[in-house]
Amino acid sequence: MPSVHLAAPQRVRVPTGPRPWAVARAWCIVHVGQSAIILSAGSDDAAARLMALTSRRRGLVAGGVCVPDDDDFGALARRLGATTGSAALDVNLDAWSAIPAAAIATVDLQIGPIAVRPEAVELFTALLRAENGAAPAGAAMDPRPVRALAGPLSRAALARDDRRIARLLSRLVGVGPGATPAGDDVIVGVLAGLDAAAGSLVDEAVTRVARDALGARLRPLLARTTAIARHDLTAALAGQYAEHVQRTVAALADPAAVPAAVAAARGWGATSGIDLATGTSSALARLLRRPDHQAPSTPDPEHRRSA
Amino acid sequence: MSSPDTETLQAKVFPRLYRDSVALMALASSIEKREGVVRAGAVMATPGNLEILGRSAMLPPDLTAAPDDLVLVVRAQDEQTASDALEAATAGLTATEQSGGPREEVAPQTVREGLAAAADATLVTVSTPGPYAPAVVESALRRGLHVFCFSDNVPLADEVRLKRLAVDRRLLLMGPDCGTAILDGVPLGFANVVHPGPVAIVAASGTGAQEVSCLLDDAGTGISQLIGVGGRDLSADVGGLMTELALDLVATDDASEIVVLVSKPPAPEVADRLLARLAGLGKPVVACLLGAEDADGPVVVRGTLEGGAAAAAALAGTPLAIADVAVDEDAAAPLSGGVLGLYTGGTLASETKVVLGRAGVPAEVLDLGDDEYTAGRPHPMIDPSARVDRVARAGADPDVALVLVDLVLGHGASPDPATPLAEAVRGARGAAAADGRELVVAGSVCGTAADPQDIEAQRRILREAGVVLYPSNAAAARYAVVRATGSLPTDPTLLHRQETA
Repeated sequence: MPSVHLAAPQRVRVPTGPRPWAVARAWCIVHVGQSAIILSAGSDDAAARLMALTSRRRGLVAGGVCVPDDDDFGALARRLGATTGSAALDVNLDAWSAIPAAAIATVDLQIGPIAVRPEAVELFTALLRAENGAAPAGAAMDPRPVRALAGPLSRAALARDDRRIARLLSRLVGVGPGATPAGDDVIVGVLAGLDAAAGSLVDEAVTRVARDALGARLRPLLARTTAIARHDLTAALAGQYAEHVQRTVAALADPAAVPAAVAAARGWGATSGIDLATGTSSALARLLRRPDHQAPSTPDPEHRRSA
Repeated sequence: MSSPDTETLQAKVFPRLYRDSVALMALASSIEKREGVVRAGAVMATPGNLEILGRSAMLPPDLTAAPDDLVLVVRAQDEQTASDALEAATAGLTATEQSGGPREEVAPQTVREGLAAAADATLVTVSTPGPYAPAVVESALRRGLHVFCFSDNVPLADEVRLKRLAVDRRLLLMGPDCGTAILDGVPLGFANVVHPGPVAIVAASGTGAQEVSCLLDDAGTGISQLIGVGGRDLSADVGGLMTELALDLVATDDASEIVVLVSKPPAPEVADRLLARLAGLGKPVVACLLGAEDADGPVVVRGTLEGGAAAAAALAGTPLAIADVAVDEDAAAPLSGGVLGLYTGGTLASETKVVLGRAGVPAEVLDLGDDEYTAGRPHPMIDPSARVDRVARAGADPDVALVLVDLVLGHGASPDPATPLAEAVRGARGAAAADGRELVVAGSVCGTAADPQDIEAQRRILREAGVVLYPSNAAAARYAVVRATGSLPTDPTLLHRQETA
């Protein structure tokens, strides 16, 4: 198969762990977008690994590479975009192994701990309720029925009601509009909400039990959704979230930041941002109703590091 | 009308095709808008989605697809409509695929992002709120890009600083507050659809340039370049920095055989230097300086837009013919009150002031597109509602007997500016009549036959509401003079004259 060799960007940001480009020798082009390029290591395998090369505006996503220089990203998009639609090509990233360590910034994509404030959650929930008042204009499929399952899923997970979790996940995984179907975004949002609350609103053991219960029922269903959604769900189960998810969750420590966070979520894809935010708000709202929820605590600033 | 029994359902599967959700949404929406299409969907073919399609009778029984496949489904009134819709949708997807980079996602938010998406771009248009514009303009200039700056309310000091920077780099900074430009046939801002031709226009006024270019188009000639420089460029503070650069460029442009400068009255010290520059340009030049005395020296000077257009049309060998206002009994009937001008075009308002002022007709003439009226709201050429209110108020004001208006068409302007204005005119005239008065409304439509709004339809809407229309703004102003004084202006510079080369 012919190959296209991609020159290395000047600077990159990557998640902590192995360099994403080093996990495979050859990549296939899945999509070339204005702010994201999706590559796949493997072909039809449901477990094929994806790597998203994203622009500064999109931010780093789990298992991806953020190319913060717009010129660099534009050059990559043009190089790969010119090949899209032609015969299948391997994308060769061998040159990227020469990116100097000083040009690689690593980012911890785990959430937390965050001093989630109940009043921020209440505002977040109220704003999202308003968003859900009407179907998104022009949406190919109304995402609100799957968003409505976010609350029941959170409740079932916190109660470790496995049968109910399974039933709800079957109605969420791979369901809804978008290349990451809305139901999958809702699930990622619920997991993000649980992780945000861990050690802040409730004891970490509470959320760990809930996410374990979700994970056990979710993994067997991953083949029912798209590769990109599968990638996001797998990352969320491992506690990894894209930077834009992290920014949304971080706003829950400050009510003043919540309106901007909802506005930003409105801009992710056609419905994905609000789908995901609805999942997060539902999980947090359920946690706040628990008698054992705690007063906000101050997070340890050393916990999350970037280099 | 079709029923579910007679409708047809067709689907197409695109194996392993990923498109972002915004693109899918736009695609489904565009399919559904097609005539005869009952319902459409563009979703990833996950088992969950296929089940939902099935429950809503949108899943063909023989469809086979995998979760990473994109499926388009169309329910339509007949086979052909469904087939055509799928074909169009396929073409849309293919176009995106072959574009070498998606164009469906969010537009670039910065100059850097814009250049990343279009590295060969040579010009940036800036229409941010005024206080933010200087930073964007400077960013573009420092990257070697020409700038079309639509933003208004930009501080004067910033304009001077940035224009000096642009001149140093031989780059155009059109604006701030630049309404229109046409560069190598590409319209920017509020531009009319004019024929290409030998006349280059350098304009310190947006609607002035539009009026001149439309009158030239009407005369049968056309435009090579139209370079806007912003309304303050010929002020003493800015000193004509960009006008001089624009003149340099059209002087060396082979397609530009005749040069027209359009401006509101420039600062005297700037005007003198400018006229000297124009005289040495090496091409026939018409200086259309509103309010100036007409002169026929090395530089042809005209004091109205109409006069400037007529002189340039004559130089191009296609004389402009505008019928004079007839002074008949009806036209000469005395007005019961004063004249009020409600303009969306600033230079059109200025031209009216010149005509009325020289004829000694007192009037209040408002430029509703001025910064004073537009801070925080759209220009009235985009959103006609601000003027509608004022027209309505004029109907209840016994001191107003004649209202002069303009209607500006072209790219960027409201898709149907005539209808709200006509409704307001009807209301105002009705209110005045109920009070025993006559309210006369007169004006002109600035546009061409090729403009997207359909100029004849726009004129018809206004005439049916009782608006007296003339082929130029100056002619409408002359009508106001006739109604206010009983005769045409005596100043010959205010009369349309048949110019010859």
